[in-house]
Amino acid sequence: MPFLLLFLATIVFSSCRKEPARNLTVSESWVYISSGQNGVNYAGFQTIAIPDSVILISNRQGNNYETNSLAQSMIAEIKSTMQARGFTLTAKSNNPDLGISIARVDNSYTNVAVFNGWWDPTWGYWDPTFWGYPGFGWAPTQFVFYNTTESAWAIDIIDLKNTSGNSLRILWSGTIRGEQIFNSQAIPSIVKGLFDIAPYISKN
Amino acid sequence: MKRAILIFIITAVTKIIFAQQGLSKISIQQSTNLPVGSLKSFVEKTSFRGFSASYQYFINNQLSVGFTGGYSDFYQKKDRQTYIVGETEVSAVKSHSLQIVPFMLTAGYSKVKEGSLFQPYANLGAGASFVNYEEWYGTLVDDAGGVKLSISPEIGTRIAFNKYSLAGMDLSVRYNFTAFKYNDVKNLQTVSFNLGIFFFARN
Repeated sequence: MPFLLLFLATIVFSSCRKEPARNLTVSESWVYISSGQNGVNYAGFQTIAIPDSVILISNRQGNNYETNSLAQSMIAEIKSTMQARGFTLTAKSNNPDLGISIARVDNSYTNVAVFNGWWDPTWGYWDPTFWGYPGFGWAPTQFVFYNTTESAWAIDIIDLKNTSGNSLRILWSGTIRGEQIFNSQAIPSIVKGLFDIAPYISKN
Repeated sequence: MKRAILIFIITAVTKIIFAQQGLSKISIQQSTNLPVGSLKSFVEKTSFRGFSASYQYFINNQLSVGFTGGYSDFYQKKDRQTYIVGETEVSAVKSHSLQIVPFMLTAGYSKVKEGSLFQPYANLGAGASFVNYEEWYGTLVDDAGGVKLSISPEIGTRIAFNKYSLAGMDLSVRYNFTAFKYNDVKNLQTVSFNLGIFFFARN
């Protein structure tokens, strides 16, 4: 009797929990990561080249280049941000000081889980006696497939001015993660959010 | 002789009400938990999402042994902030979540005065707690947890519904200590105010 009461109380009250993932608005779910080399003087750069397509990194659709309206919104937003920061846009062939690479990461993983526990009834099956095996149980055969997705924007600034040696230097890497980041309407806010934490990327 | 028997019967009946030996007490309380110490830097706010349930067996009129279980949930969402990790800056809305589910053996002492509604007691619980610690950056989580040692002294009082009742209100103050360390949290220390009901059952 006391065990039953404790058990019931535990069940009833443990559902009483504030779930963090469900308590976030879309804009609160956005995470910006800014990773840059220390001591880079961006005032020393003038021209910047931004390609007209976005690199797609996806294990679902295969790696590719995108020029759809979402890609165009992102490119346009980055261009206007760089111009506002004092840089001059130029073509790739015009010896730019900096290059910007924009990638969209869209991976999806399928995972399998097997349920083995006593709480998992094999409902919807004939009892093994029906099949001529009285006293038999069921071997665990319940599989569940679930998907996890990895979505992010990855933006890199490449040094095209100081190219000694035979490798290009990435001066800065920015990542945007969160809900609805592939929604065109979110693009201005998320680009602003990312570059707000890297105010040093500026000619001004 | 008849008078002696009468006195004996009356004493026996009242003894059943006021003597605790041979009785078990079950208590269920709602817990209000206050984080204390380094835990306050993780979750600041008092939480009302908690409960405590205990079973005590009285081995004589003062001493009891038994076990206690419970649950408490702490949650805090912080405003968007920029966090610096080495050469990387992360801007996120962080959410902190912590659940503590204790299960402990308890020993208790309570001295009851005959005829009084108030029955104060002092308990000491020792055992362990399931801890689930979650640090969320947006919808990305860093979690830790496990079964950690816990200790929990308590003082409180039972308030019987009336002089003859085997049930009543049970209110207590408890200090809880759980040995869990992660990031900025050095140990889990909380003070809980528990209010609920108790009832005695004869064995």
